[in-house]
Amino acid sequence: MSPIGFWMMVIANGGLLILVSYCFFRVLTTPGTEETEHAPLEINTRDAE
Amino acid sequence: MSDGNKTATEAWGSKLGVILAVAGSAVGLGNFLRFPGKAADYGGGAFMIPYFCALLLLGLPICWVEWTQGRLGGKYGFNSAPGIFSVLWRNPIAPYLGSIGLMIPIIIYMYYVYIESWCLLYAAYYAFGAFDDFGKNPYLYSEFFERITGVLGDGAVFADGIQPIFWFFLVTFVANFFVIFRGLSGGIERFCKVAMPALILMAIIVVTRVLTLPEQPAPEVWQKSLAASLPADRWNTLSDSLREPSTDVATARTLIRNEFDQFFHAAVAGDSSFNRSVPVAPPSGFLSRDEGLAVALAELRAGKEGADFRSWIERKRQELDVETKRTLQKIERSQIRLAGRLAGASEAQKGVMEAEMAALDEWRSTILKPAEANDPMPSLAEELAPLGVDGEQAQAVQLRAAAVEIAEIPRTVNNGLGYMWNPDFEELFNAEVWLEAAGQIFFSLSVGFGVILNYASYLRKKDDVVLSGLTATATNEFCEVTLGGLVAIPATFIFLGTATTLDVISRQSTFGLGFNTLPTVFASMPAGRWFGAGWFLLLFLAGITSSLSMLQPAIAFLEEGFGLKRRASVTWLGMLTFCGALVVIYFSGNLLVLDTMDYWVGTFMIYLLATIQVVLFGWVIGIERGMEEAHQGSQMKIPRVFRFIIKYVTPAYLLVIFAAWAMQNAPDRISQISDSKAVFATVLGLGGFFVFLLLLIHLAVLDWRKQGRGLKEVET
Repeated sequence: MSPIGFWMMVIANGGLLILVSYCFFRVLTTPGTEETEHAPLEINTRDAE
Repeated sequence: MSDGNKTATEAWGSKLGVILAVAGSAVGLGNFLRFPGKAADYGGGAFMIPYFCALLLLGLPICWVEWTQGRLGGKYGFNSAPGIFSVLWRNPIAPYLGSIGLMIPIIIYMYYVYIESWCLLYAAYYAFGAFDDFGKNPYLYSEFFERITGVLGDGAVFADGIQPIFWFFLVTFVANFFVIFRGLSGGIERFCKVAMPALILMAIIVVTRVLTLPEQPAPEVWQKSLAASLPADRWNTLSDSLREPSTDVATARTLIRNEFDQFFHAAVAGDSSFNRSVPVAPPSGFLSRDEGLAVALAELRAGKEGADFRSWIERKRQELDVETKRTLQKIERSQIRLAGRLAGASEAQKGVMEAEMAALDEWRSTILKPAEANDPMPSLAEELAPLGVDGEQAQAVQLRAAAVEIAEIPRTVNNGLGYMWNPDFEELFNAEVWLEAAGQIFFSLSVGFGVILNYASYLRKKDDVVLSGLTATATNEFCEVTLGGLVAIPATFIFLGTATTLDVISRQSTFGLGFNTLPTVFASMPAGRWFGAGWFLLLFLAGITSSLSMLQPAIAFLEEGFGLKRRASVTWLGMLTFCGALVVIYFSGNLLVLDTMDYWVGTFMIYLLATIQVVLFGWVIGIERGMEEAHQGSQMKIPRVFRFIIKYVTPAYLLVIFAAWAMQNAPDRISQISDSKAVFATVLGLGGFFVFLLLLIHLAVLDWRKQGRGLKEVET
């Protein structure tokens, strides 16, 4: 791996890790997120018969 | 425990539940199968720069746009793309633009469900120990994959009786519809909150294993590996036949193919007369073409000269440095691509391409000239002439075949990571790489898909879309790049090498790569059989969660457009997608239909829908009003720079790539439609289905107008 490739790998993966950690930190520490945050998997489509 | 503590614990548990649901929604087949295939196909490092540009300037902004637009449409009582678009843009043509948002998930579902069934089959086969005898031989996994999925030819799944994959497909299809018909998505959600983090944990373990793999020996060329793996009498018979002057290249190809078939059957049957520990690899890339095979035959027939030629290759492989070898690989990759385009080119284009091909030959010759100065390549011209390769061509062909072998670099993790991350700035001028990178971002994040638009429409006014969108994006990217990329791409490089990787992708679609390489990784792990079973089962579940979400937009449209109940909508949709999936399964030769759908719908149409969405947000709704809408109930603000990005940069980015693609690559893709009947029929079918959707939307719009629907907000 070339030095530029190495730094690309470190910056890309490090950046993603920091971003995920930041998002999880915000979800866990911001009051009320358990009510307002949603993922497609748990959104109620309200059309069950 | 006091009430206060209990409440805090419950809140913490709920928040953790949100994160697990985000992770469960984020992980899909795109992360572990499609992304590695695309990245490897476009040379790893050449792909990653356009990929990250697309993430920051397209994926993330359009994700926020789509969540916001969906929730806005939901406020007016619409849950499907045509209805939502009619709210976003009060123009008679707006609902018809939404047809793309309906078509994409339906069509992708048709092939996605087939890929899910591959995962289920692999999980079951692993559990029953079907791969125990395959060892670390990538060829066997590759061959198994081709036979089981019907890659070998159209109708292969139904030839010689119905193949097992069809039953696994039926189970997968029924499982999907049972869940959605009975409204059991909630149960799946609870299950996936545990299962998907388990998949992520398993991926971390597999990454650790991949990154600690020792250097793997490159398989010998077929004439050496077959000699070592076949029983002596079989090899002698084959060798004698190949040496016969009357054996031409086509006959030789059939004879060699037959011996590889025998080797595969012996491995499946556990026949110990074949040496299954030898990593065999059929000729791939240039070495599998007529000229490449002719060189191998000439080498066999040349006796001492042939042995000298082989020693020369070995010497040059030792002498040349890694950078020179990478350049040789790049030349070879360019020539393979050029040869692919040459087949469907017009006469005028052919002249230009042949000149490019000759220039690449010249470049290779110049690079190898110093290595040849004191140690010239032993010539096989005399043996090549009767095989139809003569004159000046013989020297160039022989040099190219030798260069493919010389360019082999040590199969270490370090070089595997280099394959993924070393940037190739010249590839940045290829519009198709940018289009494919953008397409992968859209596919993976499910943006420009119609799915987020639909799900966000069920949110309440005060639900957050900004932090939700960012968390979903970040988690998905972590799974895709850090886990999917580090698992599959270095492993692909280590076990398959560059030439075979490109060959596998061209024959087995981008989704097929993971089924070739990951089993080899599991074979290198303790309890690999159970790891394999668990991995593919969890991947199957990840696929199920994604495919369920793909059905919901169409269900919502049938409900709100025609007043159908959920179960009636599901039944109609089930029949439609079953027919579509059967087409994908029947026309499985080289997975050409699947790849055509994935290109025109899974890349091109997604790209089109994303463009429409961002233009509606930035220019029709207006960036200020759009941002105000996004920030309602949000837990964080979208950075101000994204106002400029969404309004100007994202649409310009999309338009520039589109224009460049239309000039550089569209002619090839269009000529592929006229050259291949399967591709033509697929595109025609897609066009017909699109017209059918427009008709349905027209009927729905007439009804909505009559009802005055979508004119004012409704309670959510």
